[in-house]
Amino acid sequence: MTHSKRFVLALSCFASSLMLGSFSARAYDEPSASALVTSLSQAQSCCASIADLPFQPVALDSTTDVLIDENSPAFEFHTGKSYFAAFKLPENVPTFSVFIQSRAKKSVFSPSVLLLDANRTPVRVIPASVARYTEAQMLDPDSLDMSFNIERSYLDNPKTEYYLVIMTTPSDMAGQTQLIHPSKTFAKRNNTVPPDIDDPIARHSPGGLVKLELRSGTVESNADFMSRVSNKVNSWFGVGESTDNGAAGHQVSAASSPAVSTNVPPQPIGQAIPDRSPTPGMQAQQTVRQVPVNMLAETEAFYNQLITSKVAEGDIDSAMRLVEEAERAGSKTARDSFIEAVKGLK
Amino acid sequence: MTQIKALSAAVAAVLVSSSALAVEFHGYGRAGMSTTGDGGEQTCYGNGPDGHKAGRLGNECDTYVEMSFQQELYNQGGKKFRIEVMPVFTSENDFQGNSAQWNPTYNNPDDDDQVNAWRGGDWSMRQYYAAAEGVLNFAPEATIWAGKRFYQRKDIHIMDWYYLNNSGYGVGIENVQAGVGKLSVAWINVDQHVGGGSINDKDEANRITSIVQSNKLDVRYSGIPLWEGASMELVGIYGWADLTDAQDDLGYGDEDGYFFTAEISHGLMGGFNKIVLQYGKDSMGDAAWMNHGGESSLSTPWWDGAKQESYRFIDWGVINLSEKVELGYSFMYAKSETHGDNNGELNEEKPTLISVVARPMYKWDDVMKTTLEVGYTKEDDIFSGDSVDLYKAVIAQEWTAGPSFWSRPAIRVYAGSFFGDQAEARNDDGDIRVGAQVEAWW
Repeated sequence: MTHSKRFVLALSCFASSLMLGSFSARAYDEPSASALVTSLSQAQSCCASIADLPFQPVALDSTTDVLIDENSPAFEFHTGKSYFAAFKLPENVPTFSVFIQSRAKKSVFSPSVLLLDANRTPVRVIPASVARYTEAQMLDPDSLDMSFNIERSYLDNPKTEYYLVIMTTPSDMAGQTQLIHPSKTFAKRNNTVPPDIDDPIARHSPGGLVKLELRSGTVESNADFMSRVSNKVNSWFGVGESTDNGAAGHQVSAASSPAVSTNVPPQPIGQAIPDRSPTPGMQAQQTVRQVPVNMLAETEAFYNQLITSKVAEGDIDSAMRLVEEAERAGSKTARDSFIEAVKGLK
Repeated sequence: MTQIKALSAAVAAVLVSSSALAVEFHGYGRAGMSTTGDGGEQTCYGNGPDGHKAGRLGNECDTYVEMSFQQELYNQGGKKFRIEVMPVFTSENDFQGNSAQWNPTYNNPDDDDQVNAWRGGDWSMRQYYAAAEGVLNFAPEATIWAGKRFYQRKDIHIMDWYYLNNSGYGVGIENVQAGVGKLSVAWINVDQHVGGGSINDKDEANRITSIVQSNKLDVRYSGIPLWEGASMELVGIYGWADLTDAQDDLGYGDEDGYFFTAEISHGLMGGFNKIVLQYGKDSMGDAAWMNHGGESSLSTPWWDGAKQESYRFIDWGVINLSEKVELGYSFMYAKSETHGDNNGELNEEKPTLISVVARPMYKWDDVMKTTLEVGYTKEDDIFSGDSVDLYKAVIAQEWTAGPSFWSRPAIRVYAGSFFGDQAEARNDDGDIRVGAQVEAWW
């Protein structure tokens, strides 16, 4: 083959590869946060009560891209008005796990999750504070992620969760998430000094693109599946970083509704210079977040007594569950009681 | 017994919050193939340690792979210990070898000068060090380290140009909060072969007398706030020869010298811009001229053409021109002075160097980009006294995992040419090159 022929071949390959570009998919266009704040303030509440929300069925082992924008329904939750997406969870399946990934660009939807029982009464709230920032890696965008289990071990449990609502609260909407500038990630990989520049900030928005994924098995058993490439590589060498969900959530009892938080009006977007943290990836809250409920001294003592007696009986499992439950309900002494009781066993 | 086991498990579950025992595997690598209009593989203008003064895209001939294994060994109560170990492979370009299946001359020493499946490169341990954070009472935020490492390197990616690279065996303390900024201090060694001695000449302590060690004291102060979104870092390195008594008796040179860097970083158009001023003198006289400035401190100059003084100005950055277009760019100007004229052989004792590179890329989507890189460089040849120039234009189609300028791995095909005096000298002026390359970091 002559040189010129070889070159015609090479260049035509090259040119055709260039043309491939025009067939590529379009990137996701992020809805403007400030436009959504305005549209949300004017939006009508879709429904009379939470039980009447439009629930879409979602299947196990599926991934759903949920676009929350001005076309989404809005509802006046106890915490305040929010656009939302409501789903009916699969029935007659064993315990499964839910993964939520909210994409962050210039803005991000800071997701809270409301779980309802068969009667569509709230039984659990997973607050936005549980979501962790994960920096962009490969094709995965910057995101706020959360994961939790839907317990189905005891089907006659009246608190079994059958409905899921993805929403946000006015106080979370007023917050922001500091992302990591991609040039810094490169510098880390390349053993050079990251440029000393401000990290980008994603304003929390009333809407965004949220990926909802339901998988068989618990969060713990899916840790490998969900973790990103680096963690998969890690698993060659040892234990991959577990997907620490921390998403026990707050149990909703008759006494305390999920709506403990103060009602904050939507904040105007883009006025002040945002405060940056020295640590990227931290979620800064501009407004005071709801504090855990203060437990009654009597209840706290009761829990401690129960924990101590369970340990004494040798029922460590129950004792530990009591510790967790007590802490969720606001106990500050349950863990210490447990440790003291265990020490006393010898 | 069972109860005790259950108990200890339970207590562990309650008390242990988290442990980070997983090994992280990170790295960097490049490798590729090429052909040219005149036949054969492409020639490369600057590669690896030389740096690419007309830009690196379509101009890399080597295979280079860094494998970094990092592990946080301990992280409790604000005390952290971690190690990093990095073996690196680099190719011997003329004998890179083929896949092991084809060439039958596996590992015969007689065939050392031939293409061979079982050769073609070298391994080196480029990093092995440990770092600890939270162990100093007076500065819990600081990190101490010792070993061999890449130390706070600064590079222009599109040129593979490390304008500050004081790496090697050393010890140091990093990121001590001091006033408005952070202070880092390190002591790093560099070895130099000096002429005249044999590798067999050793002193009483069995040290080779023809290898001279120099010490470098590296002091950095970063994070000095300037205007909104901008900060400055100041770096001073002082290098001095550390002669043994035997070397003293032999009358070896014991030059010292220094290298100073001031760098301003600021955010610009969704990215950043850096302005760098550097000055090197005496034993570190070539530091503001060469790639990897800060590494060498010459106890005695290699020869008369070595630089006894240099300064350099750099402006570079990566910015977003639009949602779809990102631009990497660099401008560099350097001037130096040689030690002498080498008995009249050198016609230019104060050479200058200029380099301009721009790499705009259009992002079709999250995985595909079209990238153009144009470069120009002109440098005084110290022998002839003439300035020789080099122009380059390369266009590439790249598939990357992610939309950013920094997204990798990149699988790229490219076509382009070099022009000008340096290309003419290699009979490569305007010759078209076509190639494919992987570049990755993870």
